[in-house]
Amino acid sequence: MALIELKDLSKIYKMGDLEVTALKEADLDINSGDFLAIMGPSGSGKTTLMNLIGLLDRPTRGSYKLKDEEVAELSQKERAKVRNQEIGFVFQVFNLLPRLTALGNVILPLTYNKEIPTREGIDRAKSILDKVGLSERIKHKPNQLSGGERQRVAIARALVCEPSIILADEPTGNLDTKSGLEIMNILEKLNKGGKTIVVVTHEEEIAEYAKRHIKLKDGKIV
Amino acid sequence: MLFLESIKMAFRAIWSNKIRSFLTMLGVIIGVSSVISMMAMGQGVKQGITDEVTAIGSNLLTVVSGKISADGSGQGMAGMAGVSSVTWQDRKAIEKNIDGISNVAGLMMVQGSLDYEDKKTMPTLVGGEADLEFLNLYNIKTGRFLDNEDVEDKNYNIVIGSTIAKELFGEGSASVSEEATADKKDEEALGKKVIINGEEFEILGVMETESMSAVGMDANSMVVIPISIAREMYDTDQLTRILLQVEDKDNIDNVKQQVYDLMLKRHKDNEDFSILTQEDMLSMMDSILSLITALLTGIASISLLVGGIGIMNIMLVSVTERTREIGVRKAIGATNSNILMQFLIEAAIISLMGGGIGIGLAWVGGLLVSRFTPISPEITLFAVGLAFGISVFVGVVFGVAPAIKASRKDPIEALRYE
Repeated sequence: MALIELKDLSKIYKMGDLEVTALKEADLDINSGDFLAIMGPSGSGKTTLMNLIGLLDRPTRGSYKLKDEEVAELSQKERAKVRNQEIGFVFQVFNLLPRLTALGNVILPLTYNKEIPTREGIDRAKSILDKVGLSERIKHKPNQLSGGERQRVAIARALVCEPSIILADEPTGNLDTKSGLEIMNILEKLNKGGKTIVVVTHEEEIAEYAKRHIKLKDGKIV
Repeated sequence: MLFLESIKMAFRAIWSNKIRSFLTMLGVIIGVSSVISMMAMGQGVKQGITDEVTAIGSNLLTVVSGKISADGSGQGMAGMAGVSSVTWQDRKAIEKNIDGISNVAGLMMVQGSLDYEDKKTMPTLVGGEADLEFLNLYNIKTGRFLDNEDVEDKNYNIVIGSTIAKELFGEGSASVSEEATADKKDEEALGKKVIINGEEFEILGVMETESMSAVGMDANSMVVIPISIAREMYDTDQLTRILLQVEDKDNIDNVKQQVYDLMLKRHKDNEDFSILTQEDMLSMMDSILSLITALLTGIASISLLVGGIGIMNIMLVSVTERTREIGVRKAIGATNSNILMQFLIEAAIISLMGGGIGIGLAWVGGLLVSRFTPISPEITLFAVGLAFGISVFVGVVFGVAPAIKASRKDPIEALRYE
């Protein structure tokens, strides 16, 4: 049984009278433990596919099964819950909250999680920060951290609710080569520990870390 | 957990924009403090009058011109100005015919001018008689009140209110407010000659500073002259009031009826007068004061409305500024209602803090007012509760639109926002 099953998934944006097909009848299975790279030029629908998988967006047509459950038609509230518990996002621009410390950012998802007690969550956040090598910097604000460190905080934040899948959209796009490779090493290590990871990238070098590759062109998986 | 966390987040957001948050609060601070001050002032004045009336005692009857119903409605205080139907002859008749009265006094209020050396003032002149002193309406601080001899012999003697005393004799010293100095000034006033409407009078006494007068005017700016002289000076028998004290409190209804019958007979069945007990006076004053207080409070609450608009404005700005934060929060699992609550709580807290500071300000203002004026404002628990209620209400009402705007943001758009 696949962790994620996409069938005939389409996303069409309406711009006035004009219909733009961002994703066309995508079929894709992602198994537990996969390390998948989604590649393609800009405008090919990578981000749309990512947003659909991450339940940030609703498909226009098609079916999306997560852990064998149909999630394409879930309500706003249910999708928020799935995002919180099953999906960890890592963004290109980190998207940390500037007012919070590294630890504050990492425990933020726990605010919206009723299942994990606060105490336990904080301990867990600290141990994850330790794992990504930031145990000395948990009290620092994002503007006191380097780009690589910020992205590691973001990865820790993605992990804190123990999601089934990590979605990373161009995670190295804003980093220098060295920090970028560090981040990819962390993701690789996580994958070896059993985490399912999907990376969106247009860099071959980054895609090489993945076990599986798919290419998108004009909204279609090729 | 989420609620507490939202409160913490709100404080963090407010703290990180200290000046902006304070300026936003200022609207609510001004609104709440003015509403509370108005209510406190109204309450203070009301309490002052009630105390005074209680001190005078409930065995006082007041006969005034015009038909006034006990709740203050009707043709109102027509008797205060213009032609009065109550006369000196009525007063004499009451004294002669009604039993069970210990003191009776007619009272005539007119405008006059008073000159002392190069100073000129326009006090309320009260034509009064000796019995007024026993009615507890005025208390002498220095010197003595008019006596029967002054009235009968038409002695050109007067008693002055504390404000007048200060105006005429209090100048030239920066420390007038200090008790000792004030006392000395009062002593100085005794025996001084002043000119009222061209006639020379001698000051016999200075009255205590009264917070409010139960007779419905500022006792502090009054000058009492013998009524016999006032009647001649203004060539009238009209009285503003006849005051009578009933010997036995329990007999007051009976006496009131007797006076009513007598007056009705004298006025040929034309009921153009009213006989009021202290309770009637009190309820009249009360309803008038309540009206004024409500009016002023209403005006003050407009500033609260403006404060609310300020909150709404700044919350809208804040929502736009934090679009990306909203996107992040949604991506990591915040529902629309989580976001809504977060911004709503923030607006409510800004408003509530403003309310708290506003109450503090009103309290300080109240202390200042009671220190420098005869009014002592009373901030009631009800007013404080009301202010807190209003602040939360304002915050929530004006925070709703920005919060809804925040909660409806599309996470993808929000994450892309620069």
